[in-house]
Amino acid sequence: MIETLLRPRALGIALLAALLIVFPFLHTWPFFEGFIGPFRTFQAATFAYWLVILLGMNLLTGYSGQISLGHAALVAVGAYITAILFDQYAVPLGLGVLVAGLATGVMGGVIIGVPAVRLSGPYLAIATFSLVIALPQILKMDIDVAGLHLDLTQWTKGTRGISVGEIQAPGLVDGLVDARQWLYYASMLTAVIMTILAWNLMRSRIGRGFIAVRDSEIAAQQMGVNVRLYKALAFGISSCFAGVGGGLFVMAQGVISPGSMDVLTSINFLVAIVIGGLATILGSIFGAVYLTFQGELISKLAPQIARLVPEQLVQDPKTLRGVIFGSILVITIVSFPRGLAGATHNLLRWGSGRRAGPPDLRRSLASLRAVASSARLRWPRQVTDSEASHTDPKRESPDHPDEGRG
Amino acid sequence: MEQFSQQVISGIASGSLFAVLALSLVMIYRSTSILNFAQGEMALFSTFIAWTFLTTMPFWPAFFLALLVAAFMGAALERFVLRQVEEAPVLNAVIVTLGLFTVFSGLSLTVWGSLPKSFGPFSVFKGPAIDLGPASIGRANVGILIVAVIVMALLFLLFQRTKLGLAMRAVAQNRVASRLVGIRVGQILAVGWGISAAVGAVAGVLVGQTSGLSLGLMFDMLLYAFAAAVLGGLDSPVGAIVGGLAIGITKNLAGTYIDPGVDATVAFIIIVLVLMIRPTGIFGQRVLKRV
Amino acid sequence: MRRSRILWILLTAVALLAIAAVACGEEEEKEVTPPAETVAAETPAAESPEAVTGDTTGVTDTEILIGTHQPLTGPAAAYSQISAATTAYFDYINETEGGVNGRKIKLLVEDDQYSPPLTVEVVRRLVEQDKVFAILGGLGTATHMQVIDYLMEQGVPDFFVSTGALEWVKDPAARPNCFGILPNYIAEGIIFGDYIAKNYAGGKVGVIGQNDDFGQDGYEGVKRGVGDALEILPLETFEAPDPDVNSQVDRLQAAGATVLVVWAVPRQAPAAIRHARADLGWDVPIFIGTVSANELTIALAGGGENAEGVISNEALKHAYETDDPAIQKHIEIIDKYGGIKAANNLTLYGQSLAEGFINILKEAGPDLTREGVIAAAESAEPFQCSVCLFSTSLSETDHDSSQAVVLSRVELDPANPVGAKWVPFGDAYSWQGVLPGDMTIDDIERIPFP
Repeated sequence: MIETLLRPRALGIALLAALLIVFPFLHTWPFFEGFIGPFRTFQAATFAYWLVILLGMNLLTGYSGQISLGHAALVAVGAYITAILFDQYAVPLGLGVLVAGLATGVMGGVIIGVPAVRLSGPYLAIATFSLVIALPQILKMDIDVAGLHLDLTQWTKGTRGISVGEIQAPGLVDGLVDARQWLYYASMLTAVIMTILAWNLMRSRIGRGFIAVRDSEIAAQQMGVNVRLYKALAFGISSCFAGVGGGLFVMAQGVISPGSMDVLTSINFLVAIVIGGLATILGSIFGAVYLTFQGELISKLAPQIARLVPEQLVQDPKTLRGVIFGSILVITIVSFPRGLAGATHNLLRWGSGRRAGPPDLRRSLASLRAVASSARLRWPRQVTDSEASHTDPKRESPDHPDEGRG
Repeated sequence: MEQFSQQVISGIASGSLFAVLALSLVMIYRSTSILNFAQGEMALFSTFIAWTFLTTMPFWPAFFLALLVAAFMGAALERFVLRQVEEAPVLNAVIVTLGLFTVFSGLSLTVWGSLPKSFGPFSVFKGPAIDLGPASIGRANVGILIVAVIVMALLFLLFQRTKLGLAMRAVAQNRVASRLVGIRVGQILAVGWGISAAVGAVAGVLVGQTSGLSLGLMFDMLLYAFAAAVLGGLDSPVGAIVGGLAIGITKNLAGTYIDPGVDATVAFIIIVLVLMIRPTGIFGQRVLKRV
Repeated sequence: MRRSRILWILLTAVALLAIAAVACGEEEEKEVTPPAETVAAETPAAESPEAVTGDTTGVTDTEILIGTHQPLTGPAAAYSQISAATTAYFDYINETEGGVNGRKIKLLVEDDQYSPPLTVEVVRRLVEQDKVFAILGGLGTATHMQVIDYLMEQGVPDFFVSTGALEWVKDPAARPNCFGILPNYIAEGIIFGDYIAKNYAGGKVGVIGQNDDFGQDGYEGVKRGVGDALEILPLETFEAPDPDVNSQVDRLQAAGATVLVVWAVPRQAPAAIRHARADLGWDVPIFIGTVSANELTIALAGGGENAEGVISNEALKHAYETDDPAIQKHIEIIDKYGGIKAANNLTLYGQSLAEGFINILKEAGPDLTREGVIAAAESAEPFQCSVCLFSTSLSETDHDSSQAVVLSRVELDPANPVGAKWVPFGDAYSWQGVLPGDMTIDDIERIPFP
């Protein structure tokens, strides 16, 4: 038993769990006071909702190969549902988040998923973009058309948006934790749960189905995978994640309005998962780190770099911020084609003596076979490694993340 | 009826702006299969360069010189930046273009400052509005439409009637096979980027004349230009024009006959509906996937 | 298989527990009320040695740290001129007067690219990491709206928000920390409406407005000002990212509008002018909101040719008034301390922000606290900055500092880089101490100008 606990991975997980639990209190300990403050606790809550959103996006784009540029709209929908339930029907925020997740999932699956099955690539991307463009108008809709009076603003409060105030700790733990720490725990717990869900999902039949659809729609169809269903399901599930993320967002920020999420945010999500690493959980984590800290990093970094530029060339170094950010982005993606997660993975493999090999064809075929052998959709169950590599007695470690294509 | 025709004409005027930018998007997609998000800001940058030339020379020389500079810039970008992500997954190239978007936007700000510049209308685009009976349209807008159609025709001829165009289409479809046939893929890609940067510069100069040269010129326009290109079919220059005009007109009519508060919403719903019927755009090629 | 089942059961249990806990614990405040304590107040580093009661975050013996969110890059980067001028003026005061009461003023300008999600992030960082004393001149309605509640909760003074939306100033009791500086849109609208009623009676007023508070407040004001003198057509809205408003202008022309009022920023306002004049050849009288009363609009509308005759209202002096010593000083200051070569409406506005804030700091005295500076703002004497046309005043019941304007119109001027300039005309309008909520034309008095 001790032996099992001391295994590196178990130790690592235990350490991580411990860190997550004590994090909000770290800044009160003498050693950490210098460089961590209560603001970091809030940032951790921010990280939590970014992570949930990116997990969903990764499911869609990384694992199932469909590009969505409309995720910011789905997040906003989730946030609004949570806020409306709280504001108008006094539904507790936690329950609101859950409902928002499910509702957004259904909406996303139906409204986007169904049309999306016919589209792919850039066409799908732009079609989903329409959602982000249209959403502010829909949220402010108060029109009379053809005799009907359509007024959504009685729920969405129009341009002012909805304010839910600062989240408070429940009476039970009042005194032990303050409002912000409670926010942290609520958000982080949700994020952890969603991460485990995503991880499980991707190793299950559904996940293999997604990968099959991504790698080759036609081959998957030949193998008996219901491509349309899986594509819509991918949208549905990732919308669910987006909805939950939106709920967490409004819990943390305390306010949601039509301007809260814009086109830039949607694009940022895409950048985040590609930089982080497509089709890996670690990639979503890196992406969330990127979203949480990039503003701050650029603010600190840009003036330093700008100082290196000679006076004559540039009058106002502050304007170089955009150039610096864009350049770093390009350099990062050129240096790390598989994202930061891919780079980390290569680093670890290099460290342990194994080299990055060609894409695992056996695994792709196995995923197709595993999915095809089931006639209908069941609750996700783990595809065991014996099934996945049944022609090969040598097994690779079960947590080996799936290789992306190319 | 008068209201309707004026709305349509105004829609054509707005739409022609989306159309010209969409042409450059189509150009680059057709020749490299990449969605270039930086197209708008590259066009803006080229337009600022044109503005600089215009301080020392008349319109047409400045215009063509700016096109030349833009073409070189585009080719250089392909050779030194995009080449690096050729072997990588497609999304990486998209991210690179997003990075370039920020770079060009920032460069425009750094080099030319934050204030807008007076820009045109120039030579043939100057003059009073043109009266079309129940409606009237700005002279500059008519000019833009004409230039857009000319560029569209040139692009069409390029792709359908020239060896270069044929090589571009081949490279976009299958790079390995193209190499095997002896096509210098690298050169072709660079030329593709160069031409589309030049088309972008044309778009920038045209749009700048009607909206003033400011940093935000291409920002919101880009979205509508993408929508136009997608609606018309990403590999069809004709589609870009049709798509752009369609969006301009639809948005105006929706605002007039439904409600101005949902004009963009209706326009995009229609785009999605069209895409559901024709998943690769109105004039887009149906792609047969092989296993 | 058994392992995964146990895992699922565990997960579900934890999830249910979590939901139960969070659900039972909701005691959110629906009303945003001023807090008794703030997170920032607990930081020890900011306390000054003397026993000063109150929140002294951001204040040290030698420095006052304030922050703002501005679009420094991105499509709205033209507005970066404002903060450049404000910073230059603070540098000038720091060097020539050693700051205020021995404390130099340091302004942290953070870039939000006019994007509301970014505003949230940078303001939080300013408040919780940089621990600024106050926020000065936060720019943008949609952007600032995201942080206004947060600043309330944290007890951070929110000075001179750069927007005229009603929300900011309508109820000082609910938002004691928030102060406006731009004339509010309702007052502007009433003034336009009144002028229109007196000069264009009997026709139809067409109003184009952004689809938010800006457009709605402006429309409401115009309605009140016009009264029965003209027929008022339904509001034509547009969204902030719309590239043009051709369709809206066309509809109003078709509906027979004889006067146009446009509530838009220098993106759609010049587009409206350009479309009406250049495309439609329509010389309808056009009124635009004060946020667009600057050289940007003239340039983007296609120069003096199109913009001539357009009317707006202003509260600041002009960069072309070079015989005015205050303007000369302004040009000198922004060049010497900010490297800005050309003055314009934006730089003047930036300086007015700085001057107004310094006046309040002086009023607050050497014992500087957040509560103190708010009280000082409310009790200060009316103050007219060197580049302002009118004096501004605040009180406990009125947080709207700029409550006087004069109408101005565009006139051709070949000497000006954009070919035209804004020239004030007529008597000025003043509504000191009147809140916009129920304001009517009778609440606004005429004062001689200049």
